[in-house]
Amino acid sequence: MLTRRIIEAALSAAMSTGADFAEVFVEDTCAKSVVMMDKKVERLVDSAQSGIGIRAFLGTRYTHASTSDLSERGVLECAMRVAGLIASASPFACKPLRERIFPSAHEVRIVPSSADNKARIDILRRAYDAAFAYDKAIIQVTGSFMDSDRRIQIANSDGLFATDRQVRCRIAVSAVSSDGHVNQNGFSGPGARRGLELFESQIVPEQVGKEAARIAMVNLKAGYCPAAVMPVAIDNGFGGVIFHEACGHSLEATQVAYNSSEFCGKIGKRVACDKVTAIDDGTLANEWGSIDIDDEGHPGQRNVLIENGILKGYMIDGFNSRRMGMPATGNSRRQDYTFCPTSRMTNTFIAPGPDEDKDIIASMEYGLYAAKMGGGSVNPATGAFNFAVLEGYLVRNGKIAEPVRGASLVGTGSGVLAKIDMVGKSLAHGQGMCGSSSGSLPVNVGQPMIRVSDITVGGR
Amino acid sequence: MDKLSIKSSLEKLLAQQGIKDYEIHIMGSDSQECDIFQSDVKSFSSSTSLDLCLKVLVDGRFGTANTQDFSMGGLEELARKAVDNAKSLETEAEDTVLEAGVYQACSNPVYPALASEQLRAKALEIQKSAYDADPRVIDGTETEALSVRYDIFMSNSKGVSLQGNTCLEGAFLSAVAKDGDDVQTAYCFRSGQLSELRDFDAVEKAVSCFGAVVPASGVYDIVFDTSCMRDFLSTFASVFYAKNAQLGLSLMAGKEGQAVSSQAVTLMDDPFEATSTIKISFDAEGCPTRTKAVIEDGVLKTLLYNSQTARKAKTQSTGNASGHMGPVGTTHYSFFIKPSSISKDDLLAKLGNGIYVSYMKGFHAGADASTGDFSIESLGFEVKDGKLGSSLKSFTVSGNFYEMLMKVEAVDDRLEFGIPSVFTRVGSPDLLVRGLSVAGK
Repeated sequence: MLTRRIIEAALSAAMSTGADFAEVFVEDTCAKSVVMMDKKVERLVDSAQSGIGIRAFLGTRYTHASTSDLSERGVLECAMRVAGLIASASPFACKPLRERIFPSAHEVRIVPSSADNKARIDILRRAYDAAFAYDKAIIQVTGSFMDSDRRIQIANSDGLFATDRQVRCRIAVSAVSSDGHVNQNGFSGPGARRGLELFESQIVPEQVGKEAARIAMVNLKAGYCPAAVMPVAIDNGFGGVIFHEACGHSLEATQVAYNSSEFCGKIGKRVACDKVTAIDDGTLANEWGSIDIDDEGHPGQRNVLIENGILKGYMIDGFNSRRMGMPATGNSRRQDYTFCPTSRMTNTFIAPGPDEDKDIIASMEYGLYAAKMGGGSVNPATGAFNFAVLEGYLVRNGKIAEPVRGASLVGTGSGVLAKIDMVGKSLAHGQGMCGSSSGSLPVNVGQPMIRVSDITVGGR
Repeated sequence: MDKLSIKSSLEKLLAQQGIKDYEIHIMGSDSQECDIFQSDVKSFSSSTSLDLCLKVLVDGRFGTANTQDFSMGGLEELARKAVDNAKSLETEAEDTVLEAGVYQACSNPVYPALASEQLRAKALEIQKSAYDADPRVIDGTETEALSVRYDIFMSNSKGVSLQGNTCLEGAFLSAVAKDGDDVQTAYCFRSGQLSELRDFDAVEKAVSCFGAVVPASGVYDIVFDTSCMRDFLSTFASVFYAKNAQLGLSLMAGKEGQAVSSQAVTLMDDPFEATSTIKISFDAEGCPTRTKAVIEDGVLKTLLYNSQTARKAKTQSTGNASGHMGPVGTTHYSFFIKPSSISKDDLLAKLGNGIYVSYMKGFHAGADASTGDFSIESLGFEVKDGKLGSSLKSFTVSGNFYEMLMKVEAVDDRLEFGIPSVFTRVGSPDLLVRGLSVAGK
């Protein structure tokens, strides 16, 4: 971490050629990862990342520079690189820094750096062995344990000076089943903004391993999903990835501020049926995507994006708030100091609705029940998205029938949003890593079970 | 602290702990990019970093740790963690520090350092050409010009001392076009010396998609555009890694010497490919790299080995160790399907009736390297009697990569490479495959 004197000097240097705003982001992150393959601890790596990212704004233009050299000379050279790319006739001055302490909603009882390798390996092995023991057809398991401890300093020319410490842990198991001819996969990967106490009560490692193996076995017995347009029930938890990809990215200022979203200019307009309320909430205690402050130093917020089907707001970072003329919403995030921060999701979910899960299934004469979703992607400009279904079943005559594999869901964000016609009551969250222009970030996705009245299901 | 000073400091620290065998890897990177929105600069970014990776050999196992903190305190912590990690591993105690090999000479182009003004001017030129190309181009269209340089230094306790560097200049145009309510996007990346780059055809691609219709579901013969095949190769490259075969995660296991594709496919891995600016003569273990056919006329000639997987298979490393900044794994270099001498028009004529798939999206979610299954969102064009017809949208192409290799009927002469990443990139010509499932309406 840097001294206040060096930070102030860096801000002054970055503003020296006429920027109207400057910001310093200092990071010191220690991370550890353990990987088990072939029933052995195969990889164990410590990574220490430290450096500084400096930004300067002039109107709706910005410059950014980063360096891993945290010497005073390295920092000032970085600041001068930023200043060198901006020129204005009327220089602005920095306000004096005023330190601010934000309360943390995320208690950490066992900081990972205080634990040895054995503590992590023991947790991972419980999950790993449970996956292998699930069925003789499980031929291979890959298990990983990751923890990170990120300390940041953020200061800007408006006088903000804040620090934060962000601890996260995650365990992930990928199981492969085989009948000798065909391999199939299953995956489970829960995580949280907690220390190692996460595995004392909230997450049972054996259940993580069993869940990955269970999905791999279901898929081994599944036939290919037929290709058709049909109604789809998407279960709770990671099923929320459909809102994240199909709509969430298109509600980020990164797209909206540049006319690259199908939701531009639609605030106050109906975009879904009145059962749909969607929220991005960075304040949820100890959740994987939670923040106390974002990477510009704004406190995390609960932002209602869609309320009873009406579009209420976007997720906006400080720079793009200038372009949009709307306030920042505590959504500015970056993978690390080398990335420029921009608007990103935190914990995004569809709120509970009025329908019973059993009624949703019973309403489908022929369709797909997506019990677990895989990942997906979207083109925000057109809204075109695709998702993989990790565990799926056909629904026949209102009952869940045989398992199917290889299904994908294809459509457009605004299209699928308008076709959500049933929303269940039981909200659950799932954890994932979201990739976008400011890097790879931990996010929660979530929803209760929903029904999409019709959607293209890709299959064979 | 320079590289030799870092090495010297670490040697002293390791000697104090009785560690004699080690590898030190130092990677420096320097990048800058300029983004244009509408007709003005949206942003300039530049980044410099220096990363150190230490691997220490303790009881036959390499322990690994990385840092960006080059202070004495940082180096002491690095050495302590690397030793701790070595002691916790459970792999076979067979790791060794390699002796120097015979390295093929290679050099990458060294472009003169770019001034920010040059980046800005080129990016603005490309952006202007996009707006000039068609009146339906709208805001949301963006251009990024970039320059990235890496240099890698590797040294070990057996006297190996190697240095390599790469240089990438390129530009990326993302075009958005609108006709009524019909919005289409397309992308184009070109690399080479920045000042020489031209023919950004993203606008042409975007406007060609207007009026697209959803095809009927069914089984189609398909020509995949080079960009789609590059995505396939990127996604499924790991099935050719010996490690995955040994773990039962690749169905290429035990297939060396056997036919794994049609005879139309020859798949190369070439660290010295002539057009590459990321050539490298050594891998992350210090082993010499070499040019090799992975598949030759349909026959799997070799998997890609590092020294660990080669030892297990009782063969020689192919020089494909990854892991300059982490534990040893496997990598490919310029990894590409060899082109033929027939043109794209001739390939479409061979197709006759079917679909030309021009764009695919979502491989990270819709394709599974361990099973080979894929189901991918696609755009394309109807092909009738060998000629491109109406544009198609909102369909998925599904199949299995292993089965698809067997169904390749022909490739054309249009070999293009994708965006490089440090020492790797993939390339392919367009490729004709018979009988794949399409889900449309």
